[in-house]
Amino acid sequence: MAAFTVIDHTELGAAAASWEVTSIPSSYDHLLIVASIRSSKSDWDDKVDFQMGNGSLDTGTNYSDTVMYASNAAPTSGRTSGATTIDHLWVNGDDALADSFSPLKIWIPNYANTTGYKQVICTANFMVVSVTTRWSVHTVAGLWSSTSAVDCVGITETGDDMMQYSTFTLYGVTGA
Amino acid sequence: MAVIEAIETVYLEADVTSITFSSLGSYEHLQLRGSVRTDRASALEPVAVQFNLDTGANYQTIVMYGNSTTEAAGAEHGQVRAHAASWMPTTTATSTAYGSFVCDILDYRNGSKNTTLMHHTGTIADYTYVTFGTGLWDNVAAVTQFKIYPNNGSDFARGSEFTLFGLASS
Repeated sequence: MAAFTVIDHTELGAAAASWEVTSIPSSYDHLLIVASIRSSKSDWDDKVDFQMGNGSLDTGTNYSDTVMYASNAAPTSGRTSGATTIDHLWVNGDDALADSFSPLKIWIPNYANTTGYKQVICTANFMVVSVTTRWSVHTVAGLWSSTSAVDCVGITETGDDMMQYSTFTLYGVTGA
Repeated sequence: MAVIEAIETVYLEADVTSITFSSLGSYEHLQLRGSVRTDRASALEPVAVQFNLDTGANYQTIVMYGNSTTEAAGAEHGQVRAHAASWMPTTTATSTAYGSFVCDILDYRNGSKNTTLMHHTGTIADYTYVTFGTGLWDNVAAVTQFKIYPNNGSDFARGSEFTLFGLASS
């Protein structure tokens, strides 16, 4: 059996506020999202939000995350709890260098288990070349405080859109 | 076709100044994994990358790092290369020490976006560093080949190894 299976691949043909995959089979061991995103927000950068759920995305205050990041200065860290999304996922805004999209990876290990909360590991970066002091790198540990199996995931840009040519690939990862 | 395939592995039986990967296939993303040491006389040396052999000042790199006593970050804009990996051990390190890195190159065939990469590096030998960063090639051309080389002009040392993987999207 292949170790990696493509569950969904989407390239936005037009700007869209969200990408969501539902009815994810429980037959894999882990999930991996690899995305390349640019926001339509008229700013150098913007945050996208990540949510999970069972049946539908959980919009309750059941998320927390800890971030380590650097943004034109020495690395520091921060934490958010009781949130409705996993955030701290910073990507290029529409004032960033033209045609530049931010890389984003999200690992969701043991996503289908029904005994523990769901821990994710995320990496996201942005850079604005026209303003050389505007950049940041982020690595995020996130938690969805639910014992439900994850069968849907989504990335949302609140208030603006993710721009055309943004791509999202969801892989199912199987162990031996 | 498997979702992840090994495109090429290069194991160095002798020192070399650079390696060019020119058969990249038709995948969505690429991933380069390396175990690296260079012949630089001074401590530490990044792995540089040029896409489509473009030597213009069209590359950017941002990175954060820690070395057990210091945490810092930095950015380089308008450079002739990006970094596919940060500091690797050199001749100042224990002779058996090789650093490791994983570098994802996203959407390399997409002709509507600049090519971006994301790398994670670890070095444990005399100088201990963990780094995480991103690089950018300011060009929307599809990547058909890329060259890696020691950033400061030395050679990749014998025993270094690189494997290029392709990640499909269907």
